[in-house]
Amino acid sequence: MQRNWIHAWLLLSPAFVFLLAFTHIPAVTTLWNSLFTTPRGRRPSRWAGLENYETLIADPIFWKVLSNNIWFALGTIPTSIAIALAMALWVNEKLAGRGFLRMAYFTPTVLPMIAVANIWMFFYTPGFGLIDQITGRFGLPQSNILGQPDTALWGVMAVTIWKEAGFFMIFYLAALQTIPPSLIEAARIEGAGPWTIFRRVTFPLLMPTTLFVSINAVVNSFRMVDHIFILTGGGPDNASSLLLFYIYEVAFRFWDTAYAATLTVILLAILGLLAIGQFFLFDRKVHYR
Amino acid sequence: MKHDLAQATGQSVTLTGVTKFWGDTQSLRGIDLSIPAGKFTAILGPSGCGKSTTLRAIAGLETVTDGAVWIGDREVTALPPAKRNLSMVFQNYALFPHLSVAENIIFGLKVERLPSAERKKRLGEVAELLELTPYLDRKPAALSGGQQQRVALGRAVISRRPVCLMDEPLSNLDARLRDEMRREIRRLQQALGFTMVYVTHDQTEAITMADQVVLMNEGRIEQVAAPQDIYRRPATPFAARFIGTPPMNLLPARAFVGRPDGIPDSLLIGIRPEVLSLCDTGPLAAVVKAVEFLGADTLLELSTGAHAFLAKLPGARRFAPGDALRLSARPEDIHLFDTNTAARVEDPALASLFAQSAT
Repeated sequence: MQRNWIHAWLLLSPAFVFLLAFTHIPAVTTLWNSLFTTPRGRRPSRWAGLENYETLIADPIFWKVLSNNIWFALGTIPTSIAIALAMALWVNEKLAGRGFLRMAYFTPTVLPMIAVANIWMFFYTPGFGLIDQITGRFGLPQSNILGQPDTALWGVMAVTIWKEAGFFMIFYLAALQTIPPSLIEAARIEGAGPWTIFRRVTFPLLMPTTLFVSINAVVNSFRMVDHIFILTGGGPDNASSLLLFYIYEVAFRFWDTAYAATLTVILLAILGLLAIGQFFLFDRKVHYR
Repeated sequence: MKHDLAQATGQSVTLTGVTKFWGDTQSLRGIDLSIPAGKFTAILGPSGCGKSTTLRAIAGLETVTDGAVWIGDREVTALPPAKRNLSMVFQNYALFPHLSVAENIIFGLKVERLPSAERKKRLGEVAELLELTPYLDRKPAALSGGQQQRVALGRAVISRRPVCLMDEPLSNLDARLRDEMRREIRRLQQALGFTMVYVTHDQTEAITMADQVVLMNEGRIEQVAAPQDIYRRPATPFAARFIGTPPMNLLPARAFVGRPDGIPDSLLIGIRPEVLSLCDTGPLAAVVKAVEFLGADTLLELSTGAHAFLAKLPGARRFAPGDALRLSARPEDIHLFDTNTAARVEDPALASLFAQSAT
């Protein structure tokens, strides 16, 4: 009996070693690095205390990308979840070509983000892109969605929603199929219309899925930047740059690794707070079976 | 019992020529049925006989391929379930797992937008009636099977609808609880006076609870009668075998000693095991194959020539396999069926021939 804990550790160790090596140790190292200056040439790094954090607070680009990221999250999360739910309800019905429809909705998920970005590049291209070809038919002027500071972020958001909604749909579809049909029938007998059934039965029963999906969506809104490299490169004038993209630029273009570490610590803190907050906010409203 | 839940009257339910196809298979083959208002009607039959489909057609959960459904004097064939003014209890209860017992019961009232004072008043009455008052704040998962069943009943009766449908509501309960709920459902129906349509595969439930039993087989109605009548005068060989435990013996004429001549092979003679008695000159000469002692009675498996049959005799006497017995029955206990038409033959003179001793 006393050796049980040895077995427990042995069984845990493979996963634990990898978590340590690739998650926990880098996280702690990042925090540590953020307290030092960046080593340059023959000048080694020295203890900087909170200097990096002071720089960060005074950095207008940081505030710009942070507010971009908040708008990006607000713009993509509710929309992609709502579209995912609508699509799931739609393809859960008995309709002809249901399998094809499900596949069509899921396709964006299996495409690599880089490929998706390139497809959308073609849509957005000024002059002969798909969007301009269509609007041109109606005599509308050329557009340059990705080239304008006030529309670039919207262009990036549209791609993200298109990519994410199909992925979240799969979770909703799986959850919908676990709801016994007799519950819906009972509600119909009791006189409920489709909207009441959705509001009072289906949606509450999908709450665990909504929680899961929304946490994923929040994490993704800070994590998915691949398409920015192709679409805008963060421009123009950082109008479409997001926090992680900025971290990448600082770390690997400007080689200011200490400042990048500082930014990363802030990103991790934001994500951690959001995840905890969501659990506490939703937990009271979620019914787990 | 005195409370406000009782309604003036239930409403009758009428089906005329109802058929239902699932692709190529036909599950209802022309159902003509009239269910009287305020009575308890049980639809009985083996699994796959179409009884649940019939119920779902009445509820509007299933569209019918052909025919018409009437509730009261209103044709509802094309109406959705919500507009048919009925309630239903499902086999798995179909309680909403995320809502409390109280919310589950008043679900329909909220949908109807009944004022909250009225909702509260009715909830109190129903909870009192079904002894659910202490559990109103619980979630269904925290209740026992019998309590969940009562919540489902509460949801069905609180809206005071004239027709209540039940689809095998007791099949998920254990035997003791089933007896209790059987009486409770019957009491509820009689007290509140709604029309009950109750689907079951259990003949005990149908016979003990119902005012009228509808026996179905392979998408057709075999017989509609009061429980006593369906037992005493089964209309078809299927009804004869399905109602009563152990089932009725159906024997051809040649199994009887000293049988009258000129009886066609299509005639089956039906005798219930419990009406057979020992008689030295009885027309059934049989050998005991197996003996099952039941306490008050003894169930004998017998054979006469190639035909096997059962007899239930008072338990005092001991039997052993291999014993040769003679048995007889009274003329009024003999049922005759024609296998060509699958119908009952009313011929007391002919029936008495199979009761008389072979002399």
